[in-house]
Amino acid sequence: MLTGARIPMTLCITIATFPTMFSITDEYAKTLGSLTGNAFQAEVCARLQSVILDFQTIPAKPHGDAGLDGFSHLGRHGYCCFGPELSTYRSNRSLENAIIVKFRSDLRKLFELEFKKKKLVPMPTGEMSTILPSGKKLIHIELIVNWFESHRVIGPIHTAFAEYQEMSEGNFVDAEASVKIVGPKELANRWTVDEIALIRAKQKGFLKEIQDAAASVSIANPKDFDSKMSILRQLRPDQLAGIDRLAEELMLKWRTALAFENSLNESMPTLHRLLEATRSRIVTRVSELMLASSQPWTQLSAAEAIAHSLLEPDFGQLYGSLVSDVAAGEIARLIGECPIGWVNPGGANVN
Amino acid sequence: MSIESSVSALAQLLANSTASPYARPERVTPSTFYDLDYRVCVVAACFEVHAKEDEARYRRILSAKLKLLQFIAIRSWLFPIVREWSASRDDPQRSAWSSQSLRRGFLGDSMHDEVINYMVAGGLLVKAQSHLVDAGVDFRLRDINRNVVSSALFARERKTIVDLKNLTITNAMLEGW
Repeated sequence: MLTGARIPMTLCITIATFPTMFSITDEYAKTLGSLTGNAFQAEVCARLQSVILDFQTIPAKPHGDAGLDGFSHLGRHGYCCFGPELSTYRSNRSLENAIIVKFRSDLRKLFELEFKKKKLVPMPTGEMSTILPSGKKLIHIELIVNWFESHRVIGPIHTAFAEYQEMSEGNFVDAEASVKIVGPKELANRWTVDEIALIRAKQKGFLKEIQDAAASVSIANPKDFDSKMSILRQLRPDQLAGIDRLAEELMLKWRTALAFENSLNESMPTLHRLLEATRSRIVTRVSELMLASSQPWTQLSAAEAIAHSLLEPDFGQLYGSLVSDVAAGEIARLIGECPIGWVNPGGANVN
Repeated sequence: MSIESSVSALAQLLANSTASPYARPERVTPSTFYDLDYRVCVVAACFEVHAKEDEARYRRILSAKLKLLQFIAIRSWLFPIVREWSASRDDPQRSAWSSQSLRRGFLGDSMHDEVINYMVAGGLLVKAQSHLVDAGVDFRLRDINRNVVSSALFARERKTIVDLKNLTITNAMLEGW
């Protein structure tokens, strides 16, 4: 009877857990697939570092990374990353071509080959010898890409690999080495994905999400902001074009700050609350300085740095460079929502 | 124009003009999300629509469910996401493609916890293990909702609360999965 009671319990746990694990893995793959460029490479390296003890990242400085973004297994396994900006490709065909071209180029560097008058010739660069441990050769290479939805990249890359292997002097890639193309799903499924990996990947994509969201945020009633810009135009008729550009720039920063706020409000209310409290401190500090100063505009100039210093402790670690955008946006918002403003002593003031 | 220079450029333009500055810190509008009266009204409205009577005829609601309901009610634009989340509960493949982070958002709503503590301290609600129970004192909780309805306040929030009634909210959802 006891045994009979245990089996359903075990089954129950398995059934309840499976969809959850499935979701996190797929969510991670989806997030990884949405990352591009350096963010994609950084996340792939972070992922590999967390699961492969001796995974070594390779800085591009001083003379490039020789096509290799990381290695492991004492210099016997190599990794190359490519995170194209998917939206910039009109068709799958052009994206496939871009992936083939990029990985072929990486492989030629690893094999120390170059095209001279359309002919492939060995061209030692010396960089690989400063990267791999002395006497080690790669026996397996993984080409990790953020989009792997077409088998048409496989043939050309494997064919090029075989060709390069034959042409190469084999200084850093073994004659029996193998190559594999890995997409987001393959990478996500290879090792268990946990919440930490998911959050880390999402944060890398967060900046882009905020920038995209900022483009669609509409400010309901920017008339106070507009009237301040009108006064500025009255005061500085010599700078009309510059003021228009400036107004546009400030509005974009304001929208970025709003998009950031909305995102926190929806998914991290605790941080949203912190942001709300910080905003209040920003306006108090900036107002104090402006009102107490004989040169208030100098203080406005420092307002962005003040906002940044107040936001940094709570948000810097999580959101990095986005904090600078939000700091500028918060100042633009203070101008737009009226706490900070200016009047034309000799003219008509709308505000 | 770089990100950092836009405010500085503005300051420079103003510095070389006759503009007279002002600063009115009191004009910073606090977010309604942290308005206690507003939050109490939303909780009362959620309770009115979603609470059920127990065997002793006390109206009660799961604390976690109330937390989710009020979170969506004051962010009505999230309703389609919750609807998709609810609809995909038996389909892991479909579930995988709806946002995970939004599912967990409500769990971190510490303001709601404080509002509930306030309402409990004020004798409007009673905590009973995993449930919140209408304290039933002078029908005060009902009166709050009645006033909200008669004054035609928070129509969008009330509509969302009613719409949420048509969704199945599972225990897994209340844990953010």
